[in-house]
Amino acid sequence: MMSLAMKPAAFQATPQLGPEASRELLQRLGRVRLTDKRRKELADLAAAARAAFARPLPTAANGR
Amino acid sequence: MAVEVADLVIRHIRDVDDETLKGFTCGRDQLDEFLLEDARDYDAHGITSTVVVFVPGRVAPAGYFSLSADSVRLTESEEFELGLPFDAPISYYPAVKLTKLATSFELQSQGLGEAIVELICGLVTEVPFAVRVLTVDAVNQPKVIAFYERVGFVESLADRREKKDQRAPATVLMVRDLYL
Repeated sequence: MMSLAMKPAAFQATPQLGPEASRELLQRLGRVRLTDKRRKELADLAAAARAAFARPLPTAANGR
Repeated sequence: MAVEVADLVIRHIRDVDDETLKGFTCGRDQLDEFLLEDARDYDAHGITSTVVVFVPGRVAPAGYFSLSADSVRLTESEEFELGLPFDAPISYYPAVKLTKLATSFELQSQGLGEAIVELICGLVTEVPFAVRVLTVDAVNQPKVIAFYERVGFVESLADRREKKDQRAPATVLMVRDLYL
């Protein structure tokens, strides 16, 4: 197995959010709480993710 | 035909063999090579976790995504500007970074990317710890930025400020509040 140190290109220096996030974003984060509607939406998506893991993989007989 | 979340089949990369992975191409060599050559190593070293996405009737992967834990760090002054309705001595918001997202060249512009992002929202809220924000270092191309905006990401203004001297930064940091 090739070591990670040998693959600098794969790391592609990406920026961090840094010590200073945007004030607009932070204030919105602090003032928004999870609503029942959004909680239900996220729960439905979580159920969809579990179902996606549980479904059988497509087989060659079904297509390419 | 639009791809729906309910159509997707997903597997962790450790459960997908190399022959299957070789059937994937998104049109960008860097992303194709990551899946084939690096994703397993990154997983084995705890850097990113990669999930391969399939759609019905197609053996080859339809796409993949990689996730890592992340945080939106706060400066001292920002800790007082959060607007939380209670005192909370926090120095960061818990986040998950979408480190890679790619869809098959043949399936692009069919809603697959959007469906994958929705699925990720479900995955990261399923875990028994708090995740408030998704982050992504979006490739600085209009099509890519437009995609992330379409699925609810906004550009980090702090990131823009930090890169104001760069004419064309390679990536743009974008964030999505999972609660919205």
